[in-house]
Amino acid sequence: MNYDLDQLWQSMVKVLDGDSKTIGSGFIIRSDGYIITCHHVIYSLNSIYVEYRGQIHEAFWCENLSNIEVDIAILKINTSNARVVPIAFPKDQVVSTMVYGFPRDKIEQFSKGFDVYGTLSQSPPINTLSTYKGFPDVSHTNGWNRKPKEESTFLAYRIDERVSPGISGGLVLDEETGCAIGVIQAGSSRESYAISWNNITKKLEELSINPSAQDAFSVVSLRSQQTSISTSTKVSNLPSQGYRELLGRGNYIDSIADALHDPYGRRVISIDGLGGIGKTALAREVAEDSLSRGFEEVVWLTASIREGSEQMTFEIVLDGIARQLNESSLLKLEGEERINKTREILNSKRVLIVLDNLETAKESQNLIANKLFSVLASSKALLTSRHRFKNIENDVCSFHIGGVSKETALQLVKNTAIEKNMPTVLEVSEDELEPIIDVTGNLDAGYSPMALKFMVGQLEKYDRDEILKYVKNVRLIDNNDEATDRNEFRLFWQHIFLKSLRLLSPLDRKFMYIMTRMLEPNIGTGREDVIRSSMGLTEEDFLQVRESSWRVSFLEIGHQGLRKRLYLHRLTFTFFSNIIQMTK
Amino acid sequence: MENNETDTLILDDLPEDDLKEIQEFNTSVLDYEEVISKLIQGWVQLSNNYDDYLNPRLRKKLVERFSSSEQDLEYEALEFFQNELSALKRAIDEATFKSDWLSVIDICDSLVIFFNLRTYWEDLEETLKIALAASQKAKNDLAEARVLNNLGHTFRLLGRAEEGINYCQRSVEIFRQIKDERGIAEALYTLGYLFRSVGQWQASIRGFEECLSLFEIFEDSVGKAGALDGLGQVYTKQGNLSQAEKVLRESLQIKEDLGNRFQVSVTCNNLGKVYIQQGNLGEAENLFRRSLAIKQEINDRQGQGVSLNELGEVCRLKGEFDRAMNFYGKSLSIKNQVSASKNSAVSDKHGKGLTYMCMGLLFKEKGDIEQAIKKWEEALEELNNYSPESKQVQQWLQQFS
Repeated sequence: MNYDLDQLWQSMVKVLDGDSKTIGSGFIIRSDGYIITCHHVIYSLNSIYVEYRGQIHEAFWCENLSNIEVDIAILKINTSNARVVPIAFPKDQVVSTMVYGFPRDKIEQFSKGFDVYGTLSQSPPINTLSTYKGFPDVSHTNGWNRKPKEESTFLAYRIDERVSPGISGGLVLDEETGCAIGVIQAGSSRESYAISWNNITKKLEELSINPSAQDAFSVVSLRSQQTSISTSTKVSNLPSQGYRELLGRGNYIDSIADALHDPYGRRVISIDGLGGIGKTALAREVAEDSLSRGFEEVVWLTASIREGSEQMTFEIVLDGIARQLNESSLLKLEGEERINKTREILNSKRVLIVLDNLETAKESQNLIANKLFSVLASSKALLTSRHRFKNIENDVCSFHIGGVSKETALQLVKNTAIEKNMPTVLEVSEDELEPIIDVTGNLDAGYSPMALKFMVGQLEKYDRDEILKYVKNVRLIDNNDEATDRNEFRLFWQHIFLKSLRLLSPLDRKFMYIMTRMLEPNIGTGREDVIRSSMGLTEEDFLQVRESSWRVSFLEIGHQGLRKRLYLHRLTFTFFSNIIQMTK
Repeated sequence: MENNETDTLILDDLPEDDLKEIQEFNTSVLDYEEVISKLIQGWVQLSNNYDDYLNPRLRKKLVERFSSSEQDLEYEALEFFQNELSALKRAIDEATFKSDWLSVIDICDSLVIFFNLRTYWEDLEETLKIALAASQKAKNDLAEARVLNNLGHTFRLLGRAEEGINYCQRSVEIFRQIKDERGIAEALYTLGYLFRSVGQWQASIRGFEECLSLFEIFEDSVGKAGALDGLGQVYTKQGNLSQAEKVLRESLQIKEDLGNRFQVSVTCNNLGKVYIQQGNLGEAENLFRRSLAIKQEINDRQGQGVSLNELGEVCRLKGEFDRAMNFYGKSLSIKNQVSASKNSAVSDKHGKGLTYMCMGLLFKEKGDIEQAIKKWEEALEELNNYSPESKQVQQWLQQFS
């Protein structure tokens, strides 16, 4: 039961007050119009109205199905074929989720909801009445105008993110499975809670909804914290995922995965394409998937571009394989003996070796690829580079990656604007967006996802025509001719980066300076607390800096277990390194 | 570096506006050197905190404070060092650039503990050499002597005892110059083991005896028992079995008084080996069984593998080949599990090699040379390349192949 996240807004409901202003959120749990929300959202209303798919409906409070004591209200509207969000129990804790709802502080046309990343942890029971702190008593006498009893509690998961109060009643979603795992209850403190289905299993039964029976259940359990420790040992070498969803790359992922998993297929698969086109993200998706398709381990090695750092050579690759496979005895071997022993190990289990950014390796990428054949045995390698692999003696299955289609580019712009809460960008019509998108590629070669993200950041602050004027002489075109595309490539990114640089505040600039100077590109750190304290910032100020750098797309934010991982894309890193060097 | 031009986004022919923007950027970060220094300190602090979690003695004390288990603390620290390795290395580079040698030494100290546990020998050697250079630049004799001692210890583990002796002798020398008695004792202890590794029994005994007398002055029972263990092992190698038994019994008593179960089991094993040489296989078996029981009690999987192997040896010497093979099999099974677990801080490949080596001997004694050769070949795959055991197996293979 995979739910299409792009269609999620079709299940979301706004709860309105007497002035038709949004005061909370809810979502459809049964196709004949049953909606779930928080009781405290409707507590002060005299009559209940909701907006669903752009239409306002009067909603009826289902007294028998609701439970004031656990802050759950079930409403019903007259509709049929409403789009249902599947619901499921997490077995333990879900480590990464999204929250959907309609925050009060976002503008009204932001109709597709708002989402934040969050991490769940189990919470002791929460006193229900504490949510009503500061709520005035109401004079209405409807059944729902009642507060819970003083001693009432509900079972919940804690979310370590502050979410806006208007989002209350919205859903806490496992992004991967598309199942709702609770109802969000936004408090005024730094933490929020997801009301667990355990509070209302009987009520759900009456609606013939069984959270245990959802198909996606087993997948949810895979993401539990306990399980993640054991499964993550196999994938812990992967770079963190800095994107929410890889749009328009399904065909590539399938083709590369097919090539990789064909036991009689080629042992080395290469991905080449322009910088910022999404090669690393593609490789990451394929690598993550590989463990469920016969590979036992993934070794991921990224070639460094920083001067003074260890540069990739074949010997360094062998070191990395030894470390990541926990075969430290290989580190002591040399020459043929080391190659033979490595081959034996790679023959005894199927390992996927990913070498990322090979164009920056110290040895030629073709040389490294050629030498890899001597150790691969029954394992396979996935290589990424900006350059094509030439003169490879043995067989390599190559994929040249172009940009995304125009349709995907448009979707990417919208999704980025939603993810980063940029209503101004969402107001821009598709016709108006088209010339902006055209800057980042063309119909034949596709459009650069990274460039598109920067464009979204600029569109929020600059007038569209101003951006177009600034980039009128540059275009990012992958013409398959490396010798001639270099200048265009440089010129393009020079323009994009310099325009976005102007959007950074002095503090943002300092933050980018620290990120460039002190951390490795594409790797970064999961300890933002160290950066915050050394910059002497309050938590709030730091979040502001982190947010603004991320919104213009200079900063990437991934997740690593329960922590956020902050890092710079290699192109961004190169840009900042260069401007820092200019003064030196 | 091939084809690397596109990586450098050369910023040329820039209009004045853009140049001004870049200048402004660089002006705004001019005062940020101080923040870089603070950030380095931040990494120093964090790595110092986490290396405590990797120290079993400190970890035990921290369990209560953090309401956590020892295993969780160790896992958290290993994860920290693994995930932030590149950031810590950058911090070392930046601290070096700023000639902030103390920070370099501090971060290296923490990484050394991590690399040691992970048995990342190359990284360990490289990090120790960075720390050595930093301590020399800082003219910090104490730090230099400590790093030299650590290098000596590492080279012994790497099977490069000759090089280790040079480092360790310099360490002793510096500790003597700065009159750091405890440092002298610790370096002499390392030196004792280094000389033992190269078969220089007298030099080894001198090292252990001198550190023993110092540990006695400090009333350091742990150090004293360690030195006695070292002496006992050398006496065993020399064939001075009565002296070996005497010092190992003394060590065992101290460790029992201290209540350190793990250390008791270590000495039981050492003492068991003395009784094997004396031909007192019954007493040897008792000691190995006692050692095994402790290791089971404290859930020391690697240690259980070692004791099971020793029990196999006793049975082999008694001619009870089936029982011996049974113990070897159990030992191998545990060693395989230990080495295969990625969450484990240790790997016991060398230990697997030792068991294969013993199995080979068993087959040889049974007259099955073909099987013996097969086991020795397997042993060679696993044994530490530089170890005397590896050389021994190579000799056997040459002799019997």
